[in-house]
Amino acid sequence: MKRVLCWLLAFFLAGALALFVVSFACARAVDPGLKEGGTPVSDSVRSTEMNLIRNRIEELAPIYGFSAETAMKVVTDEKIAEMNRQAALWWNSVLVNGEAGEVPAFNADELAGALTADFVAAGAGDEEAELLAADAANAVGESVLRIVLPLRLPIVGRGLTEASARVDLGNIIRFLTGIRWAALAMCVLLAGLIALLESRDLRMSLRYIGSAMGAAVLVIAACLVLYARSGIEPLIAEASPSLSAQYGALMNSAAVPLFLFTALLLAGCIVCLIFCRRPHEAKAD
Amino acid sequence: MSTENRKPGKGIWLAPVLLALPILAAMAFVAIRFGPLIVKLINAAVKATVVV
Repeated sequence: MKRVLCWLLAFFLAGALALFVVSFACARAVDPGLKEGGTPVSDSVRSTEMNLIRNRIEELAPIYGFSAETAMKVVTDEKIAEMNRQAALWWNSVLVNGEAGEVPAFNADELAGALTADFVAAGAGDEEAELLAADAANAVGESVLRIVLPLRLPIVGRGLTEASARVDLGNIIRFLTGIRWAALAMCVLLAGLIALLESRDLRMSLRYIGSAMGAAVLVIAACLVLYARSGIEPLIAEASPSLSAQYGALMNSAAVPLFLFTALLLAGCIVCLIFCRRPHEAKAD
Repeated sequence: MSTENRKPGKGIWLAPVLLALPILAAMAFVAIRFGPLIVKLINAAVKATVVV
């Protein structure tokens, strides 16, 4: 009876351990977005965005007849960083307060001014140059917005604001990010119960706890395989390369704790299972 | 033979697999039964929210 109960506890411990690791990794990805200032955009994401913008401007330049170099002098790295900061604040406001603020926009006036000078230099009249420059600046501005903010923020914001009018979205998100601590407490409780039930034999309790750790590793590995097989990342990459870069950065921040904890659990499983065998081997000698 | 003197053999390494089996079976069932639907929903959500 005790053995059955211990195996049952070990089974739940395996589930709680897997839940803790997965929820901890997910919370690590979401947590920065809930802090003041929102998720900071990494340099690699910004560099990818700048490359995509440069390619797009080089594509648009011959179509609209402006110089790509002039446009790139206006669309600077600092401006893209500022837009990313505004987008992070927008997400922060939606996730924490349930209020969608003003969607970040690209100010095309400065670019239009710079391009007008280009068109005038190319021989166009003042009015014609202004019209051509405004047209080109709008096209560039739309492309920049699409790359830096690949999601339809007004629609997403409207949906989230409607949802937060009915439920406390901020509280639900805080609750979800707190699941990891509940799972950790459950792990401690279950491991403690196993140790209590097998208090006369440390080896046996280590056997159950070690097995639960190993089972949790297998469950996490299965989750990773399912995620990899689902093809979500290629789907996003196909939809938008810049969204793929942003999503990749988010996943990278979750990957570090995921692999760290999985390695710890695997090591714990091996140590526990080796340790629970050792005394017998000594006795056999 | 008392519990204290029971010798865990090499089969001890199978214990994690056996313990994970019910969870893996449940995950496989959900993946096979609802996986395509979930991927379709994600696909639709991505297409609806990404600016083309």
